[in-house]
Amino acid sequence: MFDETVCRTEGCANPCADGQTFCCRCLPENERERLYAAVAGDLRSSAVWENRNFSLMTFRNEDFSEKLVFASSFYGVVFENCRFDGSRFFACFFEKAVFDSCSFKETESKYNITGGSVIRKTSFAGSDILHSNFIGSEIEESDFSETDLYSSTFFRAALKQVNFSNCNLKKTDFRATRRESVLFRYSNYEEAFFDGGSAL
Amino acid sequence: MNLFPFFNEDGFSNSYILAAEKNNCPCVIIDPSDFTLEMLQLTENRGYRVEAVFLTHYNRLHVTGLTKLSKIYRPAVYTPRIGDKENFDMTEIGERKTVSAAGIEIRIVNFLGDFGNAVFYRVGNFLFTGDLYQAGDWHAEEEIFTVNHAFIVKSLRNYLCAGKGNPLIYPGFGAPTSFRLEFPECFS
Repeated sequence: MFDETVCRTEGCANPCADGQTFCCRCLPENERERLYAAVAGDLRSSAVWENRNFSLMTFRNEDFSEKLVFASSFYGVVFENCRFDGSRFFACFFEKAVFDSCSFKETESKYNITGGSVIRKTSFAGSDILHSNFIGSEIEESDFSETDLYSSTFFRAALKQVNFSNCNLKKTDFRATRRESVLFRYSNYEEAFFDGGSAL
Repeated sequence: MNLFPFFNEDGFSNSYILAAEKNNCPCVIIDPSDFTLEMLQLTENRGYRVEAVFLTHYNRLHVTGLTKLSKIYRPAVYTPRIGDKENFDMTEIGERKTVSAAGIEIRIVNFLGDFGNAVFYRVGNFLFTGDLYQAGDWHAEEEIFTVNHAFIVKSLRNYLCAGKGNPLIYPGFGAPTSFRLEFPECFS
C-alpha cells in the first residue's frame, strides 16, 4: 500500500506508477501515452482496484463508474472529463491530483487524502465523503450538494463558487479557508468548524 | 503493508488494522475503540489473526474493543502506561524503541519521555498519532493548545522535518493527513 518506487532519473524524486522505473514526467511522450492507454483499458475492465499506484498519470474522457477503489495512490494524477459515478473509494491517496470537469456523483469515500489537489467544474453531488482530507486544495465551480461530509477537512483550502447546499457538515473543518461565492444553504453549517470556532 | 481504517460510532474515533500481507497472516490493531462486525468480517474474510493491540494511550474511547478482541483472538496488548483499573493483561512499552508483532516492526515515538502516558507509533510510512495530533493542528491558533499539546506538535514537526519522504498521519480522530500537507514549509 502506497509502496513507492522513486524515479531513476538523476535528481528526480517523483514516484513511479505500477511496474515503472521512471516517473510519468520522465518517460518519453510516446511511451507515456501508450502507458496511459494500456492502464485505462485495464481499469475500465476491472471492477476492483486495490493497492495500485497511478502516480502522475493522466486520464481523459474515461468512464470509471461503479468501481471499488481501495488503498491506491493517485499522487499528482490528472483526470479530465472522467466519470466515477457510484464508485467507492477507501483509504486512497490523491495528493496534488487535478480533477477537471469530472463527475463523482453518488460516490462513497472514506479516509482518503485529497489535500493539495486542484478541483475544477467537478460534481460530488449526493455522495458520502467521510473522514476525507482536502487540506490546501483549490476548488472552483464545483458541486458538493446533498453530500455527507462528516469529519472531513477543507482546512486552508481555497473555495470559489462551490455549492455545499443541503449537506451534513457535522465536524467538517473550514478553518483558514478562503471562500468566495460559497453556498451553505440548508446545511447544518453551525456544526462545522470555522475560524474562531463559530458558525459563518 | 495493508492498512484498514475504521470509524467507531461509539466514541467517534478511528481504529486501524495493519497487516503485512493481503491475506492469511497475523495482524495488529491500533486503538480498538470497538471491534465491530465490519472489523470482524474483514479479519475473517482475509484470514487475519489479531496478534497484538497497540494503544496510543489508555483511554476508554480507545480500548472498548479489547473485551471482544480478547474473547476472539487473545492478542498481546501494548500500552504506554498501565493504570490500576485494567481488566486485561497488558505490557507496558517502557523504554522500548521498537516492538515486532505480526511480522511488522512498530517503532515507538515518545516525545513525553517518562512523564507521558501517550506515544505515537510509526510503521513504515505511516504514523499513528492517537489523540495527540489531528489534521490541521500545527496551524491551529496556539491559544487552544495546552502547553503539552503545543510541545508535542512542535516536536512532531521537528521529528518529521529531520526525516525523509512524506509520512502519512493517521490520527485517533478525524481525517488522515500527510507530512507535506501539514508542514508545507518543510518542503519549500
